[in-house]
Amino acid sequence: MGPLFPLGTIGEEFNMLIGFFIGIGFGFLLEAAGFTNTRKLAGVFYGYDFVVLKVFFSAAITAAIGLYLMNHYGLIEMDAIFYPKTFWIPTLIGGLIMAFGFLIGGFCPGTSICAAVTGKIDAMVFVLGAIIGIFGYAMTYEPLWENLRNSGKMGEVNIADWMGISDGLFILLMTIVAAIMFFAVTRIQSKVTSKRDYQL
Amino acid sequence: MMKKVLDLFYVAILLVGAFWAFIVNSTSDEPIDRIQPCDLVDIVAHSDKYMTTDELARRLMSDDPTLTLVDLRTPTEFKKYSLQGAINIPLAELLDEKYVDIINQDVQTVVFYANSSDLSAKAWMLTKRLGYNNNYILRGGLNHWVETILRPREPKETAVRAEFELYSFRRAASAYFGGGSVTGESVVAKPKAAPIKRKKKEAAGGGCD
Repeated sequence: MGPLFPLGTIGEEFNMLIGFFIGIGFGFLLEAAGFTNTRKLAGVFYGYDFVVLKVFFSAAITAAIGLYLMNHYGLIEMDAIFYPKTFWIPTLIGGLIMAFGFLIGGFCPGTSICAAVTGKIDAMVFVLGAIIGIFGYAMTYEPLWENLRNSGKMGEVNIADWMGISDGLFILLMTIVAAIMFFAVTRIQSKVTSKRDYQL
Repeated sequence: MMKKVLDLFYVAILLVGAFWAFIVNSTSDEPIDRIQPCDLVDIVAHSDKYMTTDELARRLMSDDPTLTLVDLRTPTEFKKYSLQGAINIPLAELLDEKYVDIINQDVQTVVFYANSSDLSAKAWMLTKRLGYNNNYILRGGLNHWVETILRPREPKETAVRAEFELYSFRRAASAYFGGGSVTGESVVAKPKAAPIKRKKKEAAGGGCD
């Protein structure tokens, strides 16, 4: 049955249209959840607001459970889904840059655009910086970054295979870890916020 | 308070989903649409897997458009002799992607044949395992085809009426397929030019194509 576009169930145009509406919904919900506020994202690092962590973690788990069950019941063909190759060194470096961007700017790429649209000037500067970064990387890719980009090649890695356990068990363990973490961060949050009155 | 309850509720839903994924993962390694070994035994024991040579002759003579014959022998054997309208798919290539539309569909009746019913039985089992229906084995294969249709033997005088009727049908079929039993000569089983033009076999269309 799915995925709709790779299997040719829907055409390019309809695919774009669906993407357009999902994009609008995504932006709408980011704004509704308060993610366009820089303090919400930075709060994870200071320990007074863990909503971002909870949202991202539970989104990943929901997607994992949903895809796994849909695959099991024949609703989606996992083989037709794009599966990125892993390059651990550039991923690690990129992850660190992303984390510093979160911490310093208070936005992630998605929320920066949402915030820019709502009229936040710092978000507009953030988006401009991201664009400069994208072009700068693209133009200096061959002389500077190509070797780094291709280092630490691991191919298509499935973490459950790599650990030698089944996908179902990995999802279960991950969910339990997430559940424990949710309660732990809630306690941290209430401790931190009780000391000082943070204004969002 | 309400928010806390909602949080707990959501975490509980996630945990239920994860347990579900874990349970379906540990109970079976295969996607649910594939036939499980225990069910396969049942299917093999109870399904209708053979087509007799008489039934095949009858359908060929009536130019049944829903019939697809699949010759599982090698291309050289196929060139030497084959049943009319058959397509050659050697057993080793049966599960090739290009033949999926032929063996996995629900419009045509596909009949596998080879010299005996050995290869056909293997092919039938393979397709059954994948959950493909509408495939049949020609009982006895080409050897039996020659024995019963091309060169039928006259029943004994004491035989029952039904056997004589069957014999006369087979003689007619033999004449139709060029078996040569009518003239009484022993003729090598080789088909004449097909007396009736058959439609070229193509995979049934439709579905999600």
